[in-house]
Amino acid sequence: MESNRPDSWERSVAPGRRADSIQTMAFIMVAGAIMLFTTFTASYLVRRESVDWAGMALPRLVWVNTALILLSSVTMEIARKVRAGGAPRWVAATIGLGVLFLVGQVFVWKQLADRGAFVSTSPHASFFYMLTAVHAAHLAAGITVLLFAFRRAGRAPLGVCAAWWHLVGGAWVWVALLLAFF
Amino acid sequence: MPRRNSGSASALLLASFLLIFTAATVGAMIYKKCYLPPVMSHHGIGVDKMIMYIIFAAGFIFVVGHLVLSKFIVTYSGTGGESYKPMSHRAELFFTFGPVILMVAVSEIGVLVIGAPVWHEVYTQQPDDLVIEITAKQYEWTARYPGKDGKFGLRDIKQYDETENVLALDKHDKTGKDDIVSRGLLVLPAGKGVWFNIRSWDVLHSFNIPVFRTKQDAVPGIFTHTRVVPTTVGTAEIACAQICSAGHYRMKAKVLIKSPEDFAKWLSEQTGQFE
Amino acid sequence: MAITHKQGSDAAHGHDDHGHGVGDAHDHGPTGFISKYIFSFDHKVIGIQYLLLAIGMSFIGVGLSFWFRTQLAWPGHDVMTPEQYVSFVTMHGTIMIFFVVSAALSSGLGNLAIPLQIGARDMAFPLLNMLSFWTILPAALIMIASFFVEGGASGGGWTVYPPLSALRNTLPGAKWGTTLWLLAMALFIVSFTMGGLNYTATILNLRARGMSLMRMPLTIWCWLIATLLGLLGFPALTAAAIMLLLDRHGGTSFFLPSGLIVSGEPMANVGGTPLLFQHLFWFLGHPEVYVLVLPAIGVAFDVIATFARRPPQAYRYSVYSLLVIALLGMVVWGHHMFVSGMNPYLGKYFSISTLLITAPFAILGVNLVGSLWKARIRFTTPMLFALGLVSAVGTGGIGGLFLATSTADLHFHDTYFVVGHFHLMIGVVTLTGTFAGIYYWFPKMFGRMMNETLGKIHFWTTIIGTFAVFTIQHFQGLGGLTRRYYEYSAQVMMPAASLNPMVTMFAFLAGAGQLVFFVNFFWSALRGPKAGENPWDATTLEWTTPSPPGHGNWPGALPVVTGDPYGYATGPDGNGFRMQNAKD
Repeated sequence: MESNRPDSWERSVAPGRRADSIQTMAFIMVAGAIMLFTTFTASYLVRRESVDWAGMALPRLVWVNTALILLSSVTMEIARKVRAGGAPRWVAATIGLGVLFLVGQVFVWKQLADRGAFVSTSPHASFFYMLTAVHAAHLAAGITVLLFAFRRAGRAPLGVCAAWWHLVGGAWVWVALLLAFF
Repeated sequence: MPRRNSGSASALLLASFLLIFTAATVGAMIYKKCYLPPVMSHHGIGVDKMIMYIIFAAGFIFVVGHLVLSKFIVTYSGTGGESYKPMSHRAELFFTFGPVILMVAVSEIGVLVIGAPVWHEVYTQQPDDLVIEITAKQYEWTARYPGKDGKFGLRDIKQYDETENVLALDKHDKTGKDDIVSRGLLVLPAGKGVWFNIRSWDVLHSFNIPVFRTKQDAVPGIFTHTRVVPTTVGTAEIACAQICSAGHYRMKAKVLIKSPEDFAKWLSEQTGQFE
Repeated sequence: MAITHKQGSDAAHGHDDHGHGVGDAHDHGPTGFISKYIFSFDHKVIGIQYLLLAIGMSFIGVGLSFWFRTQLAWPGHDVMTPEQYVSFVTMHGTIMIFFVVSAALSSGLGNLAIPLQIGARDMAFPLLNMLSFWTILPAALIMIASFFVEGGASGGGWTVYPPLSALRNTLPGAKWGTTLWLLAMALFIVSFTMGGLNYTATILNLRARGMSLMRMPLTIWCWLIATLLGLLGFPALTAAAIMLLLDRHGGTSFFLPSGLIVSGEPMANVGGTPLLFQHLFWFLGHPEVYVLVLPAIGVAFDVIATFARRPPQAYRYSVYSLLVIALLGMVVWGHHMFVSGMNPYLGKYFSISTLLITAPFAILGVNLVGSLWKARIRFTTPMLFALGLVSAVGTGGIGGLFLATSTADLHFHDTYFVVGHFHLMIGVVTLTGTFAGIYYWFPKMFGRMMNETLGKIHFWTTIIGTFAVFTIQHFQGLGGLTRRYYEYSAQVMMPAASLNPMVTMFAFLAGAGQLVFFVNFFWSALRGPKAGENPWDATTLEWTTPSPPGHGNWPGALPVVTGDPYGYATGPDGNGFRMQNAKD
């Protein structure tokens, strides 16, 4: 049974190739995610031309969250740079900031709900809830990957983790600017 | 070097099948005059020209392609014979890009020279066009004529009534008083341009009149447009061409094309929705 | 991007003493039945699993089509209700495209052949590969289950255009059927993405030593490009599906406009744009056609090279054409929407750009036919299917000229011309490609040969049946016969509709032929004559290992590539061939 584990295969592949494969995968996932957010952006720009469009003010907390996620990109970079020795600590910090961001997003939702803005209330609100949820799913995927990286200590492919994390951060800034100013 | 005949039975069988298939297709097209239904509109003649152009261009490629394929299959079956030598680079370039450039040129020129003016005609309103509004809803077509004042009245969705007021016309709007509403029947004058404003109440439908070569989706929330100049007096049918639920197949309406005099007479006999 | 090269910290990597390096042999495969055949990591087993899934689903997909073809040929006998008709048409399309053609060709044969042809021990991520199969399976089950919910399966067409699909009271299947349809598609997209990431990573990173990109077999090129197209296209459909689900269940109005009145009831929705969905759908939908068709063309190139005993014509230009197809394929989606209400100028643009895509396709067609020039053809069953594909891809491609011309599309849109055209392309071309591949690679699946006599019966019934069906459907479309009609009564359509019984009879003939294949497949898998390492005298890497290849694909070291994939017509008399890893 032991030999059925995929790892027995991976040993037959030169380690560099395995890393390359992971890098290819990450590259395409980033491209796919960019396509996804581009599609939503296009839909948003088409939809906002409609007569019923009425923008709503976003809670200030959104910008606090934005700051959090930007900060997490910085910690991610540090984790990638310092490598073996201090990496786990910085990975943990990144995970923490990511989780904090998600909690913050839940509070943003709550504030909106308290104001009476639900997913079906207005098209702007629909997009807000949908895009934050889709983005949160991407962030959650990033956190899951980082948890694995944390467990692997300094030997995880932090480069691809960072690529995904920066994508998620960049996507959030993009989404936030789109929702706030367009 | 003598050619050995192994595989030639399969080769002959396959080549004859391809040739019979080609001949049958071409034969059926000629015998049935390309299967096209009669055409009763001005732009329809242009559409048919476009179609015939492609039929000849594409038919040529289809026949030549199959002849070459069959020829190769028979000639190059089995073993022995002249052995393969790679083509020269120039020959390779020629055979790769020659047919392609020809094909793209033929099709693009067809679209730009024959197709584009017709496309333009269908989507450009002329000043003296008769304007008719078409409203689709699940399994029914309704036409509205602007009446004597030449203006369409406003709508008020709250006044919708399945039997009395299927277009939800506003009773209080004066311009709508003389609007003529015709359910399931579209009457058109021959020889006169008609500009259609098409809309839908519920789901997508498609305003499809095969003998006019007219097809335009009816989309809820927006008006779509198409233009027709009927050429001959006669009858036709609207047959929905966009799936609109289970009754899609029975979503039809009658089209009557009358001479301009008969059309004017018919129009004068109609009474406005709220008259 | 810096990547640490230190690997193997998790549990199973613990015993690194076992060996490293590319050339390592592994003779100890999984032993238990479940780990060997059910939850297998082995790409060959997963490929066969996909094929079996496709064969199973094809019984449903084809069965549905026979059912509604019977209704079309002989209406008025209460074969089915109109509600059943629309949902059967919808489910036939969905099942055949995603769970038969895509599953058999992209996933099944791709899994089987990619590592073998590029000289890898397995996919880059075997676990992901297994999960990919175990995600498409529930997707298929949900799709089937949707027949048994209140209102039945989705009936809005496989294109699920809103508002029909977004409103839950427009047709019976829209109640729950469409929701399940969307969920199943979501799982399918997840599965495709996992498989696609694997394909790309494997092809780009795990090629045998010496296999440069321009030494890859054309099949591999086709799979690579098709996969990339799919991976970039599916996010658009994902976004559209999320918005559609929210419109259905969240009360939003992404695609639902103001002023809707459905069955006399005014709806509360405001401001949505139904056309947006069509754009998003076809942004995936059109590349999806190439995702399905390109691998079939790739298989045909390989099979034709093997049995024509010469390299394919102008390999390089075929590769460039594939790249051009991929680029152009992303910007021509609007030709599905000429009469949708889209701006007429956009229609003109899409017409011109779509006709440009005939150029790379014509190059592929010319090169397919040209590959027979000065050949020494052997008429085996896979070769027959590949030659049938060449005819079908030509005929189908020519039909595309009509539909790409916006002016002609005024007549052809949503008629049987479209039905005939896309069935030729993503039905006949893909299936002849799949069959050519199955007959060709059968030794690598089961270590046995398929029966040639049964194979030829299968070929002739398939080719006569399908060519007749879809050519006649082109004629019906010329006659103005609209598609998705339960029965016909419009005067102008009656001549075209009168061809329906003939179409149905030919469809039955083609269907009967598939039973022959079914018997041949299972009988040969168990009882067929044993195949040697290289029964076809082919030259690519999969033929340098025993049939079937063991766990790890090559018993000894991995092959090292020394030349082009198609070393045919060598030697003084031109009858020799040179393996891609020959040491000379």
